[in-house]
Amino acid sequence: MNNVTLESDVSEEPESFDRNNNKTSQQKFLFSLARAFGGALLFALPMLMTVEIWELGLYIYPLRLALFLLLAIPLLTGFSWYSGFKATNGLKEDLIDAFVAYAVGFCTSAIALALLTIVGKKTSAAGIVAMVSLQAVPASIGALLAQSQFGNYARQEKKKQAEAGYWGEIFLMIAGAVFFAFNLAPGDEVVIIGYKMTAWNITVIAILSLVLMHAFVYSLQFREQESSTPDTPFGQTFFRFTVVGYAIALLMSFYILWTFGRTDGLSVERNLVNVIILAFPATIGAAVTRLIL
Amino acid sequence: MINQTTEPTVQQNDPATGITANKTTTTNIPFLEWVVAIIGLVIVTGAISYLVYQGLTEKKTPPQILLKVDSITITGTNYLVQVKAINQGGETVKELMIEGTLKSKGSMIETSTITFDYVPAKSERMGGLIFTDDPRTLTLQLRALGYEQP
Repeated sequence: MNNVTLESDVSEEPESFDRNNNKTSQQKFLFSLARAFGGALLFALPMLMTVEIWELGLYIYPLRLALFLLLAIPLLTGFSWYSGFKATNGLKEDLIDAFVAYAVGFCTSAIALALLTIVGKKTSAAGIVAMVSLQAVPASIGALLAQSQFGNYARQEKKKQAEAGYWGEIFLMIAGAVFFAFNLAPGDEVVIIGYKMTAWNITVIAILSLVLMHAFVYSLQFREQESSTPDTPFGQTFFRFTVVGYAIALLMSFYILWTFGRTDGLSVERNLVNVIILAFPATIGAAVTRLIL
Repeated sequence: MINQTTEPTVQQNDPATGITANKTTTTNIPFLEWVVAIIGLVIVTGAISYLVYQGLTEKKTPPQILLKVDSITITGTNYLVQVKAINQGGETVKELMIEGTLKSKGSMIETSTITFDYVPAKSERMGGLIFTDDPRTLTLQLRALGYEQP
């Protein structure tokens, strides 16, 4: 970087830049790529060093994992729309970014697991594929988020987010809930907490999740004053964002538990308890993604 | 906010100019980015196809544990028997208990156990049984006691 400038207002790239200076645009991509690896490590390393997630690779249902990998493509594409390696302008570019992120995520996951000697010569092929691809998903989300966290385009993305609209908000909630649920679902903690809790404890957790969700949604309105203005009636915000957001957290928690085979053989009540407990952090994830992106 | 940029910055408030810039960017994705994206696409498609193939073809045969003595070594005053547990079945086992018994003419002399955390389907794990008597002069019997389904 020979040209480090202090800018507070980086908007669209000048038209002449990309056309005439392709070399610099390649360099810029390499720089983005390095940052993406940083982001992948930042977000995925705690998971890459979690024993339950390695073990999950040994017994996860291959078809459920395949579905998860497939669904991660629209998730990453959406993320690219909101953050990403660079300011993109169309679905095609977001899709390319999603696959770049996936490449970074897979490499990070494979290299880290090999360095940590979790996968090696003695691991079966099926074990390697499952363990690496499972962790590649959070790593690639990290790769994309890195851009919005320490990237050039923060300001521009803010602008794009401001135009996100209702469905954009819903998408970000889904993404945040998935990431947080993924983080916590593999461990035994959710199940253990479930055994310890009484019906009252569960009710309190559910209500607290809703209250926190609403608090985040409300504070967001003050910060950005978009999708609904502060003088929007309480009921409307509550039902359009808070309740929907919590429903998303519950659904995504169930989906992740199902993907990890943690719903199998359990009674409906037990499953519901586990989903409500996992939805507590997933709610925070859903609510906060909108703030950190 | 500090931004590191390698390009000169031009404010384009004019919406018309903004659109032109957008079009240029769309058609100009760095070659390297294409390469990395295609690598990503290949890896993901590969992983998904492999998992789907596995999911459709795998037979959920019950775990089948084969135990083999790998080596017997003297460690200080004890004897270490390294045991290889091979799961030939199609299901992963958790907390697999292995018992090794030393016998002499039918009477039991010593037992020792190993618990394997996980032995995945079609995989093997190594462990060690420690005895105070020399297993080479006695009859060593290995047996899997039980496991938990993960």
